[in-house]
Amino acid sequence: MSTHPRHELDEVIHAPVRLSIMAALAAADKADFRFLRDTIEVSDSLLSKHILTLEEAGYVRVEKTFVGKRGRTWLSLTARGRAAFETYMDVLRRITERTPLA
Amino acid sequence: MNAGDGMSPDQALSEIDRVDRRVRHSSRGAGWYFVITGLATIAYWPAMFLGDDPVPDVAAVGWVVLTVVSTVYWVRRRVHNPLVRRLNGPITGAYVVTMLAAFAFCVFVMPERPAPGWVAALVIVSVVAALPLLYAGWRVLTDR
Repeated sequence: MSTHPRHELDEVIHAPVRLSIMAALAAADKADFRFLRDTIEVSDSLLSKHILTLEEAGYVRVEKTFVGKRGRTWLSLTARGRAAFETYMDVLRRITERTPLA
Repeated sequence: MNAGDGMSPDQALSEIDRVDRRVRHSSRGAGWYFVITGLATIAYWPAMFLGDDPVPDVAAVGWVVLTVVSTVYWVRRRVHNPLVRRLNGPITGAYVVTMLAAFAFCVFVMPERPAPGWVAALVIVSVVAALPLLYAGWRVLTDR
């Protein structure tokens, strides 16, 4: 008996805001915090909370830099995060391409 | 909130596609940067070496302004595109070579009062100097 692929979905990624963060960072080398906030359309605090979850999972790297006195927070996927996102995409495709049994 | 609450696989794929397009759209600024600098390169050499006063002065000031504006843009970018990163090194190297070649042509080869054949040659040299940037711009702007 086979297990439905939905059980393989990575629950760290498969949540609305975290999915958007992972998708944005998968398409970029790195993105700054404000860009992510504007793209995903969430508050700073909600974005920070989900970034912390992804950082704790080892999927996202957070880097703080300064241009003059202005601080910037850069986010990027770790190798582990990129691999997890690719696996997640494979599972999603398997679910959506799966044809129901007659 | 439980992971995935209320999000179907189709909705997840749709959101991934939306965010992906948004990130790529934001990366297009780098493509326009390459195209604008390439077109400025094509105009720069003929303006510097064929133009009457004050055209060379305007070209020089314009080049400084373009350099400042593009540096500010480059530093303030909010998203870094992997294609731009891959292209940046080889394109910069090629551009340095073509610009040095254009400089050498203008300073050491072209006569002081160029005949129409020399003018055409200078235009060709200017276009060749710009090719690396125009190629990079085309690659970034047509990326998926």
